[in-house]
Amino acid sequence: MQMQTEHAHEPPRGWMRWLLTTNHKEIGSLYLLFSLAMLFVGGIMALIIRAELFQPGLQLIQPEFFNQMTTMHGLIMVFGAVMPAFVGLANWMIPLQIGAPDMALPRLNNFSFWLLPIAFGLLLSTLWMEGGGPNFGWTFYAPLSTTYAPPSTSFFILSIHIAGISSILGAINIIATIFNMRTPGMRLMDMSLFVWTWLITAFLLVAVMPVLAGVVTMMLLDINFGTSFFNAAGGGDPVLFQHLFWFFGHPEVYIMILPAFGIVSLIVPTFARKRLFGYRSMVYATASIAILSFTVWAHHMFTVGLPLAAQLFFMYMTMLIAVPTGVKVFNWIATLFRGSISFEVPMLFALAFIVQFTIGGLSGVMLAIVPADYQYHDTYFVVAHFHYVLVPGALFAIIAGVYYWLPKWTGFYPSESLGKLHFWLSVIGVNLTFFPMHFSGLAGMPRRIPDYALQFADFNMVSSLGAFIFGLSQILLLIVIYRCVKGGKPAPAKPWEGAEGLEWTVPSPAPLHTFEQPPVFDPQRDSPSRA
Amino acid sequence: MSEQQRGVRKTLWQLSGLLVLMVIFTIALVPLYDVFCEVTGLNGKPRRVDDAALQAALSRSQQRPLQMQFVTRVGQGLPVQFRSQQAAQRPVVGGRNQTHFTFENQSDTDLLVRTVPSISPPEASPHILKIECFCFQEMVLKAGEKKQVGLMYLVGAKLPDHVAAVTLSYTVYPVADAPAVAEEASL
Repeated sequence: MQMQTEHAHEPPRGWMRWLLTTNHKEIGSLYLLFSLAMLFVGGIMALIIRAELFQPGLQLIQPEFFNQMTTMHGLIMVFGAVMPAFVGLANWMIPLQIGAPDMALPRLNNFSFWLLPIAFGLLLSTLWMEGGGPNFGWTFYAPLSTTYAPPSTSFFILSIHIAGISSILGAINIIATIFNMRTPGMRLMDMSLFVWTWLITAFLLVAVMPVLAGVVTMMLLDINFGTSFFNAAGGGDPVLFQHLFWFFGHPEVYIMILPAFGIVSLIVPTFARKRLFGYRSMVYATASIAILSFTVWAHHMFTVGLPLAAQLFFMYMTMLIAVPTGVKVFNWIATLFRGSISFEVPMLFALAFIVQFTIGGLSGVMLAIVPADYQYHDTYFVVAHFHYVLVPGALFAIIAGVYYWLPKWTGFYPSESLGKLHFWLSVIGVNLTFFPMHFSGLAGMPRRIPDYALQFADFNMVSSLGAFIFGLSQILLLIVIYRCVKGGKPAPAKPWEGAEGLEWTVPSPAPLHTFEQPPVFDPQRDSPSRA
Repeated sequence: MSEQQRGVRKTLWQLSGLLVLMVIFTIALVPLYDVFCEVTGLNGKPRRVDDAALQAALSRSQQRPLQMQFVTRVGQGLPVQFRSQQAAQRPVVGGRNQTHFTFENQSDTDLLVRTVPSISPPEASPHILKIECFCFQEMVLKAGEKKQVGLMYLVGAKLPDHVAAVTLSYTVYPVADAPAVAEEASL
């Protein structure tokens, strides 16, 4: 009775409703909209970078501002676009996929979202401060970032702290939800792969975000309180910074890709109209990748003068990660094999993900080879590699997920023709942008420079043209989402013929409150791991 | 409290525990890293010398063609000239060796400086034992002062045979709040 009277309260109206909401669907939408906004902010920065690099020489901006753009682009895309997008999808879909009425801690959920606009408002405001914003690369290596950085660095540290707290709280909420709120009868091995990958990602977040917080706190102390954690003059060690940063940083790259694996593992079976091949091996592969991710961090530091034994260890461990990753790729291919495949927009993005993520994975194996890495280190080859795993990798998977679940969110199908146009322009743009970077990198073009030698001019011009095609084509994504919210072809509860899972048992659009009574779940019939 | 709420609460406690553990782990990494470097000699961090190590190093004196190179560097913007008396020497392996360095304060203010050593290759660093070194303490350089300081070191007999040359590099840095401390030290 008590519960019912509470529910009878009218929710606050206007913007207060969004400020105070504790509903997982509304918070999920807020996360997704925030991440979409950050995608465009970071994207505009990328286009400023590419415009300057269109030709050799300095045309448009000063090197100081160029450095701020590369740094902010990286920080915003990693912490502001990709991570919140995954948290948004998790908020929307995890309760729907496990049959829970909401997240386990709804008010904490609200708090962890509203920390983000504060963090990134603060971060962006540093661009207008004296001395400019952070200009030391998104990896903020000390002592560059402690000794030679602009005074705004302390604000940058604070914003990283706030964003980190947001991630930790979000991750704790997701774990608590998955462990305690599954509908009766659903075992861990009955969960969808998106839930599984997010569970493992959330553990990675809880484990490494404190390390990031520790590193930036030490920076803060070095800058403002005269300590010497990373200052050789005071007995500290600059290399220690890199060890600590990458102990966070490498699990972080898996934080940005594991949920993408989950999304693709749902979309591929749906449009191949087959069950996912090797569900269990997918779960074990995800867990193996997560565990191995703690043992490979120094492959980012092969050239700092590591002893041979350490170089060999980190080289072999890095190559070992290719094994569970390969298991995943082969499972997706085996799922496609002899399936009745149809090529709706989510499937196109998912297939492009598989192909292009694999390209990024292979260049990663090349980079893992120590003697080769001495050549590739800090060149555009590295830029090509991580953009292939992050843009046509993580970002394409997010976009695939958005197209896949839009009918559930809005009750309408997104436009198929505009979506296909968006897809093809994106694929062409992304490959024009990043594929030539392999070549300019192998030819020796260094990263993070506003000007370059003449022999790299052609590759850079192609990259810049591709970047503008890719960037502008994302306006189509905005149009598709806007039109899909406003109307279109009405979607039934299960808009995709081959889709499986509890989220398709609720009406489209999903009502504000779902599964107030736990849904019936029969593992024999509904589990993705059933025999 | 329903069973679900109890479960959520339990998970929360467990995750908070994990969080606290990771924070402690991060803080512990800093001293652990120093210990690790000192034990393995990585990063060229010289090892502290105790009597046992001295005796072990002195156990058998031998002549072998080892070159000891000295490199001197001056930290950012410090008005100091820092030179090694010899660019390199042939040390006695398993015995005492000596050389000199000179500092010259070229400014008209007193300076408080600290010299930080580094040894390369890292595998040699456990075998280079310093008995007397200006790098042990902070040093006051009066305005215009020229100072000669000595270094006495041992090359351990267990230095691997394939090491033909060892570089001992020194960088002199200003101590952070130099003027105030220098005043105090000169009193």
